[in-house]
Amino acid sequence: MKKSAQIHSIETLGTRDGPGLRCVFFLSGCNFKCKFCQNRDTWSSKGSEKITLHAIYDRLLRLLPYLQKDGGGITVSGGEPSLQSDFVIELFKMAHGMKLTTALDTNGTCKPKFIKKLLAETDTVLLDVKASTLKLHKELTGGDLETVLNFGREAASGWVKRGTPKLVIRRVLLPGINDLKLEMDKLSEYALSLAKLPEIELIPYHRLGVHKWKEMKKKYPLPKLNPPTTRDWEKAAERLRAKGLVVYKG
Amino acid sequence: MSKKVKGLKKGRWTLRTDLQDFIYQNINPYEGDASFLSGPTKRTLALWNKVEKLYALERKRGGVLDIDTETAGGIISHGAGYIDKKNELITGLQTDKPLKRAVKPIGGVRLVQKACDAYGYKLSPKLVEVYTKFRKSHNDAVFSVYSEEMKKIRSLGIITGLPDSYARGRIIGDYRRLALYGLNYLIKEKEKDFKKIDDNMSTMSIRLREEVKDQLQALKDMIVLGKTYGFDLTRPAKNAKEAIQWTYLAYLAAAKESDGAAMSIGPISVFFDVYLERDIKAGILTEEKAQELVDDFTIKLRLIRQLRAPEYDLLFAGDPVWVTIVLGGMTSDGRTKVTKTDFRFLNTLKNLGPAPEPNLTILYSPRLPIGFKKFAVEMSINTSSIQYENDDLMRPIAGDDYGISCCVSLLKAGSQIQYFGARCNLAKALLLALNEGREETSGELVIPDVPKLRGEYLDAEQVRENFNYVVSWLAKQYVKTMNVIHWVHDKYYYEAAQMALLDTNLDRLMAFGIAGFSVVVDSLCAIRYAKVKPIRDKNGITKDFEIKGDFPCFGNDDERADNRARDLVISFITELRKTPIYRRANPTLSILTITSNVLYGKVTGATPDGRKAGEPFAPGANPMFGREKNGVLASLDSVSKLPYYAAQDGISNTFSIVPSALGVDKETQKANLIKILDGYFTRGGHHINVNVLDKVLLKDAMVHPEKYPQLTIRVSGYAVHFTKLSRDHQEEIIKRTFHEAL
Ligand code: SF4
Repeated sequence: MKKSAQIHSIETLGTRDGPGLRCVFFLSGCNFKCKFCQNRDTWSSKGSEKITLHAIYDRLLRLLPYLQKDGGGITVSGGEPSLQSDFVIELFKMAHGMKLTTALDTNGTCKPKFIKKLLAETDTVLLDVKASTLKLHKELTGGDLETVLNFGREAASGWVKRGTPKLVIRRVLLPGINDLKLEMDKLSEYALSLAKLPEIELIPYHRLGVHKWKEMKKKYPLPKLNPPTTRDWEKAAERLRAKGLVVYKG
Repeated sequence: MSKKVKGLKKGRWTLRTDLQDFIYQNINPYEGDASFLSGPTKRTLALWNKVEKLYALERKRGGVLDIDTETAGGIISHGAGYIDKKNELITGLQTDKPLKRAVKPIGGVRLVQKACDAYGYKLSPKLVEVYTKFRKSHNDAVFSVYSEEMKKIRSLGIITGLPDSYARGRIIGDYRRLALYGLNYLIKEKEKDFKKIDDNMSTMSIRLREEVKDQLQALKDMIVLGKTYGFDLTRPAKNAKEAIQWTYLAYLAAAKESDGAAMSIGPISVFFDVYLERDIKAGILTEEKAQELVDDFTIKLRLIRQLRAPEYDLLFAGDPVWVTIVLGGMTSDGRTKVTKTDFRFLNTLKNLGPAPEPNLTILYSPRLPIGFKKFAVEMSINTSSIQYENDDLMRPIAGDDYGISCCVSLLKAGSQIQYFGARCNLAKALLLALNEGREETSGELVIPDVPKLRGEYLDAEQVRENFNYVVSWLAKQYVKTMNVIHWVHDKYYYEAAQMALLDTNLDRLMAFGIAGFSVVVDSLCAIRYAKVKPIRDKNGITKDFEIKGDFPCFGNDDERADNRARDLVISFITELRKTPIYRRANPTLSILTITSNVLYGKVTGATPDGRKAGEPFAPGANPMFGREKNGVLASLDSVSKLPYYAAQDGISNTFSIVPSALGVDKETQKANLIKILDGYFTRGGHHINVNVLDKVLLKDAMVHPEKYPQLTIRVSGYAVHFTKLSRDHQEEIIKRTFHEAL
């Protein structure tokens, strides 16, 4: 049983990562190297702070009056939280004990031996599918697409069997890169193939995280990329909606 | 008298002065939503348009439209004044013209002269002569009594903002009494009270006898004031229009007589509602007409002005008068006090547009009806003009009938007053502790026998001992200074109109305050958890601090910092309790700066938390800008942990958030704001200002003030027009933590 984790930061007022108000824990360490990463400073867990379950319990206890309403709770994000799955499982169990809901914001690369246990304690999975073709996914993230998709399948089958976790697929929309027809077709194909239909959240790419690369003296790999226009976003969404998917803006 | 008011349920209030009982018997709690409300009528808009033109002119003339330099203000100093006589439903102005300011030289004639000069006027030589040769002013009297030490801590800005040259304010007359009972009854009751005063002719009984006679004169003056506007105030109000008119004239009498720093109006909404609903039920009033009355009354309150010298503006920016009105709340028996009229008052923000006055204050409980909560947060999101205070904390202390004085101060209606005491700059106190009792900017010795600190780095234990010593010394001087001010104030600048509408034997509070709160908490944490090395000048006075290592800061829900914050509040009030207080008043404490945090910061040297010399403090009990690392709820939680029982004059928190951080769409934003308020008040938070606005919009308003004449934002306990603030204040607000979405 893992009782502590490497943590990057805590955001106590999350309004966009699951239902209600949420306390969001950004864990340190990531196995991807996304070119558009907004949290470049979470990649390495070196020098990050350690936080114990006990400390989180104290904090959550005080925030219960805010978080308990309308299905609010906690979200773990990162970095990649599933790298510390053994801790997240304990954290989620504890949260459930406090009548809080749990959400996992993940790139879907949880180690196979933890998948079942982790999903059993998760109420919402926010799964980032950053690209839907093998090559582009590899190029953008350095990670393997099939692992990601498999995690989504496991989540969806759990959703059918037990009623949780609810699955939301997230895509940060990089105009001209991962919003093209082929990408959208593949994404909807995947969503429709799942045991239960997930919602799709299309998050317009933004450049608010660029300064973090600079601060770390790293070159930002997409120096010229602009955020999608409203039309870009609508076009991508329409492609998915045409296939019968529920799409909203993140 | 009860026979004359048809349709009202009788009770104890018919036998004796008891407004709380009147409300118990007659309240119409409303649990619905805002759909019944009416928009503004043509007449309202036309009248408001005239006022807006006057506002524009006032702005153009540098903030003051006109001054009557010839007449000293008083209840009957001026004849009737109107905006547009035949189109006004509620009448009465402080002088003969709207926005024309009266002078009140009795507070301090030099300050009035200065204020007149600043705006290009000249105070009448006759008034100058009267108030220098024949009549001592409050200001002169206070300074003739002050000790050297008091003068020193005052002029060095350690204890500041003291009401020693203007009226103390903060007293709320129970203006409803005039409407419910009429002046004949009130005069009779005061005469009875006079007879009951002990005739042992002790100093206190002599004083009280004189005061009650002054009150009686004020009541008689109010009859004349009523006649000036064509009303017979000797009898109770007969209908809603009269009830509002009578109440307003009672308030006006007070605002004419006194230029108190805060002139709040108390719990009038639920009172008006009784009459409005009764008239609507009787078929003599429609919803539209009811709203019109509330709109017209609000316009009157938006015209209240006091003449201030420009220095005053540095402390309290934006020309405020704090006409605080309380809305909402619950009763001890579990009913809600929310009425349709509370909605009507909030609706004035729509009908007339947002404005800082009257200062709309919602007595919040998570148990308030959802319809009211929704409407309130909607108005917050749209106008940023509302503040919220914890009814569940205050009701057990004050009962069901109470008002808020100034920004955050609780006062029982009708039976309690407070002696206002501004605040002590705690950051300066800490620097006194580090500098052997010498003030950090002048090097002047203020407190003798503060031991010299040993060692290169600050030692937490030594600092704590010195700081405790300083606080104890200062608290004693602070109480004594306040005793002087209020003794003199009662004698030279007695608020007869307000006192006449209160019980004769009052429950008195003395309201002390602290500024620089989070600076001191963080400094103590830095000294304890990091290594802090003072950089001293050749006289050994700290000029700056070198900090090595991390330390916890207030505003992160970190118990190490938050426990220090708690201790600080408790120890200060404990020290205050050690010195006897004038008229056996009970000491209370506020953590409130309003906008004075900017000025206080300006005159305070560098502090061990890393704040540079001259940089602003955070307002009120707010954590310092940029040091909150864990988002909104952590910040709110740190503040909500401060013990209200030790700071019953109020703990002010200003919360600014950009709309997108509250949620993706309007509905989610409303729902989330309600959750935040429910959570904050459940956790025991006392007060919160809610600003929902964009930084971009504020920056634009700095450059183009003309585009935003009505842009109102809440600053530490009251609201102001953003464009009326100085550049420093505007920048400070933009710098102040904006909680942004990731
Ligand atoms: S998975 Fe998330 S944290 Fe990791 S590199 Fe990609 S965007 Fe950044």
